[in-house]
Amino acid sequence: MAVLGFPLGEPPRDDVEAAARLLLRYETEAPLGPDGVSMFLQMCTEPRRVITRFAELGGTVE
Amino acid sequence: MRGLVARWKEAVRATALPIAKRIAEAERTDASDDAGLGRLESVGNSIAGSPALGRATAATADKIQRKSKTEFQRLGIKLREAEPALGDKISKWRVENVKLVGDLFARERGMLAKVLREGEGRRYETLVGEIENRLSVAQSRAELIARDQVLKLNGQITRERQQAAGIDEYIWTASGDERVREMHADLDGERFSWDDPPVTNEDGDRNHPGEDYQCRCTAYPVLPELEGEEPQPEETPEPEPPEEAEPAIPEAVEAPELEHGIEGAIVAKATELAEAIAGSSGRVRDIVREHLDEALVGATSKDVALARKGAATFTAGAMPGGANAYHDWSGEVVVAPRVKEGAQRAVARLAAGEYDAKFAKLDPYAPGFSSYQRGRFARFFDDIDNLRTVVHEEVHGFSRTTPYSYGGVGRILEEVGTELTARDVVFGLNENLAANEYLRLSLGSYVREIDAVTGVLQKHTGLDEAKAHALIRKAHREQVCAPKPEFKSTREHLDAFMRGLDLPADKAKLVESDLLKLGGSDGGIGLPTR
Repeated sequence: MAVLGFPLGEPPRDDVEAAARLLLRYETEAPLGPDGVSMFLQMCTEPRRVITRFAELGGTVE
Repeated sequence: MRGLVARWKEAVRATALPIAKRIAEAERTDASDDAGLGRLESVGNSIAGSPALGRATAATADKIQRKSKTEFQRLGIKLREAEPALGDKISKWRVENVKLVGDLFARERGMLAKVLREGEGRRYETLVGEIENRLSVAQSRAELIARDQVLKLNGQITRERQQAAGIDEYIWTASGDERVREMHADLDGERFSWDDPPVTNEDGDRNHPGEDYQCRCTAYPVLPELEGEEPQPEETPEPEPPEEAEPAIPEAVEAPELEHGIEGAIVAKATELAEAIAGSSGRVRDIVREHLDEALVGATSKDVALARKGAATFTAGAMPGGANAYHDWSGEVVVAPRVKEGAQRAVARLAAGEYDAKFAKLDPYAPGFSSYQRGRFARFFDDIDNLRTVVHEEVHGFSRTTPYSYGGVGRILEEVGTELTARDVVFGLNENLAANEYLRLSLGSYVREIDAVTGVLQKHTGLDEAKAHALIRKAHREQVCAPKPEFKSTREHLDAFMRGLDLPADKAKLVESDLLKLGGSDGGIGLPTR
């Protein structure tokens, strides 16, 4: 049975900094794909702040 | 309006640029220049008096009037067969529009003349730049006028119809986005009488929704019957009393179909949806809601819990990793700009009837399908997929899901249920979409998750794929989108979903066991081991 999960771990929901850094790791180590990123953001309590911090850390946003 | 502005631009370029050239080459301006500008005046006048403008204002008024009618039907408020006062208002509005357009071109002609008169000694390129600037200004002002006039007429029609239906009061409802001016945001949710409008601007003017400059607010009717109040008796009996308002909100989605037929309903809905997307309004959510089945009526959500229309905002924002969108837990839907634009194109195409019976039969891999046709089909396909994304995020708004249940199997079930429901809603917008086999089989996201959950159900129930999808949708709508408290854990989501499946105990046990395996060993936050 397939396990549909996040190989580097699920985002810490309430920790914007840690979630942004984990998303950055996914970008370089294990790209999630559009649906995976959407789910990652949906798992954070403050997705907008995570995206902002992710961009500040050098992550690519478009 | 765009066509008229284009005509103005064409005339200005043909007339003013040669004059500018002569000025730049240090030739004296003479009577022929004035004659050239005179031609512009006659062009402006002919545009203001043109049949095209007349047709455009008539069509706009008709569209606003029909849209308003649909909204009243949605609210269960019956309208009178004859609305003579409305006809008067629309006539006056059309006359005012023509005057505003005429004034606009007259003013612009004056500004162009000033640019040219003061142009002596300047370079041709500079003058061209200034003329083009004036053309941009003319276009912006024309768009402002058009937008303002649409809002004003909509406000007038709303007032006329509500008062004719015996509704004396309304709730001021702001559009709910960041562009709402502060004074109007303060009025949001307040109750006012049609006889006593509130102060709406710094000048102390009193206005109803839509009357102030560029005001996008609306008047949500107060129906005394819904509040347990007795309707006020009429002091003077009229020969033709207003029909009573009926407290029938949920069923009203049927009304436009009865009036316009299937095609009309598609056009009306698509147009309405396009405006909702463009205006970043919570109305998108309402339209999605209307398309969901009766099991969803009365559902609470993170958006609806704010207890007013337009509570959810809808914005385009930057996305990482090619993501399309997310539904913020605060009630905000955020989509990538390309998704918003694509969704708008899709609904515009739906409104224009481009997804027609011919589209239903298109197959990009059929023999003889040229690469050009394939590219065109791909654009149609992508736009509908963007619309599906928008709907998907709105469906999330009805779910009992929270960040604390959205993990492991809870995350998978939420996306699968939401996605299958979103596809169902989109295909419900136009029968030709569902009839296109390629689109039906290929549209959507979360394919891996859907296949996995569907596979579990098929394995233990023997259902075919379509029936398994229908069962997932049912469980999601009835239990996950049900009007019950939000989930505090993944376990609660899984339990609700299992109740929705309503399987015999032995099969339910097997299905639940396999679903838990899909979610990973961590199971997300709050999933205790049984």
